Amino acid sequence: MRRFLAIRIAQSLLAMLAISVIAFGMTHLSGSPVDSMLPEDAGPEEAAQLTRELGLDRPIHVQYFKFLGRVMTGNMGDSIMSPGASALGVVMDRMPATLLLGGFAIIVSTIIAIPIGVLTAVYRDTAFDAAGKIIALLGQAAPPFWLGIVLIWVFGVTLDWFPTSGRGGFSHFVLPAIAMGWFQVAALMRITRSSMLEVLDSEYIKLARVKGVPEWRIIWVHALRNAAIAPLTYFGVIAGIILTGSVVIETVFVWPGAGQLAVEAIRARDFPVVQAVVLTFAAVFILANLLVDTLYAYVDPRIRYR
Amino acid sequence: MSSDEQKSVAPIEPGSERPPEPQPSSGRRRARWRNYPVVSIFILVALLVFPAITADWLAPHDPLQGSIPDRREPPVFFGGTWEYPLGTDRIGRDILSRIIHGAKVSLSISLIGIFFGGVLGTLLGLLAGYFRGWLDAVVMRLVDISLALPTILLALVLAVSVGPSFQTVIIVVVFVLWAFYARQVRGEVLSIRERDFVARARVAGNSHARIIVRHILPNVANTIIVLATLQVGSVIILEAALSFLGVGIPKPTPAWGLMVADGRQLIVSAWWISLFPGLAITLTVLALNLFGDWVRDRLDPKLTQV
Amino acid sequence: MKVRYLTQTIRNARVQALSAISAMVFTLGLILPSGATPAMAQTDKLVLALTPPSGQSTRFWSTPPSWLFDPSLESLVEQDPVTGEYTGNGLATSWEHNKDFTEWTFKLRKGVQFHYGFGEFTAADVVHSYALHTGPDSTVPGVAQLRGGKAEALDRYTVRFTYDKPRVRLLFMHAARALMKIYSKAQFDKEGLKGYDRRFAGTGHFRFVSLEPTAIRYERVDNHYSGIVPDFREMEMRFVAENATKLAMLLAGEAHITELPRELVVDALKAGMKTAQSAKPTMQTDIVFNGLYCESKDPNCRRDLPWFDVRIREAINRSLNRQEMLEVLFPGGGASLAARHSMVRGNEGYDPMLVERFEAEYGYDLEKAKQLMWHAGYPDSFKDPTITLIMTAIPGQPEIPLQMEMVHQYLTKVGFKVKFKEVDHAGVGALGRARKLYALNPLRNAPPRPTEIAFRAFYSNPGGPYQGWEDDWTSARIKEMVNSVDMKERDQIARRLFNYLYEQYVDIPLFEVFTQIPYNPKVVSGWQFPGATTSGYSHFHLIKAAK
Repeated sequence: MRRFLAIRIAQSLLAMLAISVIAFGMTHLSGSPVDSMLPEDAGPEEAAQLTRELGLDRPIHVQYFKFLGRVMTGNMGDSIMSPGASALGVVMDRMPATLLLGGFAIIVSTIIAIPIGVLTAVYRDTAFDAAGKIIALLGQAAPPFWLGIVLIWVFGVTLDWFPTSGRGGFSHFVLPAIAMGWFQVAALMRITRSSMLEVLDSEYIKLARVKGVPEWRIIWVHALRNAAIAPLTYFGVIAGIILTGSVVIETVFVWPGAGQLAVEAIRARDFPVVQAVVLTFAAVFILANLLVDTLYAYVDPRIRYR
Repeated sequence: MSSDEQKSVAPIEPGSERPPEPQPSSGRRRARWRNYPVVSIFILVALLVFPAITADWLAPHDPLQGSIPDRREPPVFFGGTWEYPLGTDRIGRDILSRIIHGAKVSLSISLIGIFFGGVLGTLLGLLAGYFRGWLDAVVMRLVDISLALPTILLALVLAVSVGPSFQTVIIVVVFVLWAFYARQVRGEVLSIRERDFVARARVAGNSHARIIVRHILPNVANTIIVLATLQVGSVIILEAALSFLGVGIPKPTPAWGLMVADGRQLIVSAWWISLFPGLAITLTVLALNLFGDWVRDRLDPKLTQV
Repeated sequence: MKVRYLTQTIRNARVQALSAISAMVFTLGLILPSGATPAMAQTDKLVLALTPPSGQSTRFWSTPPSWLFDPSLESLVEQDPVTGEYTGNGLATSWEHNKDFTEWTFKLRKGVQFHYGFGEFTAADVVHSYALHTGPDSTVPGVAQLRGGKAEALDRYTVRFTYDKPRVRLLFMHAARALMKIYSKAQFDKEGLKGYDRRFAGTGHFRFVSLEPTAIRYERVDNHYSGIVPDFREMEMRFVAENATKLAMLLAGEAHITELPRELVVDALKAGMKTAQSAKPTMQTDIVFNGLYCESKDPNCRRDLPWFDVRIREAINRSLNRQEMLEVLFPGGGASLAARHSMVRGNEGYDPMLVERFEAEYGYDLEKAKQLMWHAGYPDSFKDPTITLIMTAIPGQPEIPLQMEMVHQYLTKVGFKVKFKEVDHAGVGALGRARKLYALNPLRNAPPRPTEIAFRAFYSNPGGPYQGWEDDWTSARIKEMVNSVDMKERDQIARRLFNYLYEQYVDIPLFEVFTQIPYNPKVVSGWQFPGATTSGYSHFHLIKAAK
């Protein structure tokens, strides 16, 4: 177990290092922050002065090593668009909102996906199976931003059940979490369904049936408990989808998270913040997967030796 | 992260993995329903394939050139005319014609993107799984990195650095997809290479290249086909998300995602501008997923994560 | 699959461990919700949903120009909310300049108090603020106009700016564009920049409460020197990027004022909302034949561009149906044709004749356009006949993409080969500063600049990134004008320049636009603002509550 963990952590760090190079390279490809900061009537002297001021006139490799040196010490530099704030600080201020919404979205997708997955497995190849699949797949079939806007209009304005946007109490979570979570439902449902099918077919369930355990207990307790392991492994993948989805959903729902920040930072060529967001997102994703893998190795010891 | 490890957890035991085909219980209708996803295929042909092929003569109007006085004309049953059955957009272009031409755009993005992503991913997956060693390590770390990077952010950076275009969308699609193929294919190759027929081929003096192409590739072909089918829908959704962020297919090209993004503000007063392309996306992706599920059940039932 | 093996191996405890973790995630989600409270007393707290600023900081001088601080930080010179004229009702009560406009002296109001007890506003605060706004990290628009001088306090309530070159339009810098906000020196001395970051003190009708990721909050000041007390006790400006969301917030009562593209303003009106309109046009919009960098010996001059030919420039102008564009882009009104870019009534060089000639010489005429194209030998005699249109989103003018799509349609219709180049706003600036912006580029002149400043920004070399027209004659005239302090002579030069640029068809003049901002009449009864700032709106203290 210890060896397994050590290897996985080393791999993760390696990936983070590579991602830092990519993050740096990509942002510097995208132009100069000077251009988004200067107003339309600013001339070349002002541009040159600001470039100097930001240290962007130095050779690119010098800038990279400065960057890497800073990253090693956990300092991503100062935000360009928000003078006086550190880039990592700006991102960290926003991450809780993103993670919280992501957590809610995962809950929403689980709540929808697991029952559908179980029921479609139990009632395989019936009309119910088809209907369940369609409900699950609908979330994946509509562009999330559009789904979000439709939800805002139907439930926020016309019916006025939920607030249209912003962060606040529980009711503020409902619409964005649905818009974000529904997307995952299809995949989760598929996994649940196929793993349920398999479990239902196992000796152990047959034995329970012979023993006269009530059918609902067999399905919802015995079978689901074992079938639930497979979808758990999928949560690592979901972490990535949620983070990516946050970029769009947070913009639509005015959610004060890091996804929205990322869009603004890219538009503004705020390199340090863009780099900080990319690295933070990557770190969250890698950590989530590390966690899932570790848990998995814990419940299934064979994996440690692979 | 390394769901690749998870993938290779359970050694794939051919034959034993497939859930037993349930016996058709009663009635011909039910058996047919399962065997052929008639509705899905019909929707796909009617909405995607047929319009894409015949767009030039099927579309009643020019998809690019509108008639400004006829702008924001409602659909035919909502006060419009048969001249524009689905209404017109903000500058008087026929929405039906744009949807028809949009099928061509959406289909070509999906096919080109999936082709390149699939080829790249499969190639790397084959090599990594077959040769193992350092090559495997490198490829799998690349997969880790690729999965951990927030793609939408990279797409944004890419689009602001080189300007959004058909090509940048394709690049983003390839970037998102290749890792899935690489991971999946590599996982399967790992187990296939241990099988007898590979060893026999080796003993018989076949070159590595020949073994990979002649013996291993055919055995992973099903997986590749299933992945590709299920991904067409994701690509269409991705295109829409990129358009929402302003980095998708450039105007005035009639791409479905772009049309939805373009009309999203007018969801109250001119709902048809975004609704119809949105429906086209939803129905197509839904059908693609159902069809994909069916293909998977037929070809590769053990594949659950897509 | 692995599940099969697991069925045998898993003990209940392990499953429970996993479920416990999921439960933790769940409860975490339930416990943590915090932040804005949705409930609000309607008349007490005003919520505005506005387009997000591109940066977040309390340092005005190094944050992209925005309305963010207008409720709290004031400029030296106040503008009348109705006429837009410079008045002595603000921090400066009067001002004078010497004959050659190199010395400007401002008399300051006595007894103005900074918020949060940072004492009385004095000349020292002006000198301090001048230093902040002209420092190396300053990005305020037109900072070059502000820089190059010296600010000194003559006494506690008198401040003088001395420049070595004439600054005829200095008041514009201190008023309309609100380039220089007055920060407290006392606060700076005590707390430094970090103090500003935490909670800056201003002199306005509202004092700053907090800056959050998606909002900035203010509360009203009861003893402002103007004697005006805002109707709303609290004001929150929420940053909302998505227009559909803004409209939804307005209709759902979650925001009371919001800025929307004109198409959606119409929707808001239909739903029972009302609009407030600026007293004067807030901006001019036009499209520049960019990239004609053609002073003699300029290597960036590309004579092979189709629009290097004046006939093509006229043909393009004549292909556009401006009346139709007005109807589509500004369906609620509040916009009119502009005859000449940066020529505004009341500005130096304004020539009413050009307005009169406009329809005949620039008006929609497809036959004339085709004829001109034929005379110019379009497309055969051009190496690359493609007309490149910049497709971009300009902050503050959401109609631009639709406008450019319409232009695309019109030009295609008369037979031009047209192509979009999608670039974001910063990207356009980058191309322009590299002098490689060879395309037709939409421009927003907001607020309409004084003639001299517009000429310097758009027609002189080196100027800003949006250089349409450069040639020796134009550059020489602009230099003459900038160095002249004889008002009559300046007016004459400006008029000659306007006429020349007009006859050369150096751009595609489009519209003069008033700012229209929808509000909820149940909460707000009106808002009077002059339309003198970049965003269009100002004078937040004049937002009146509904009875």
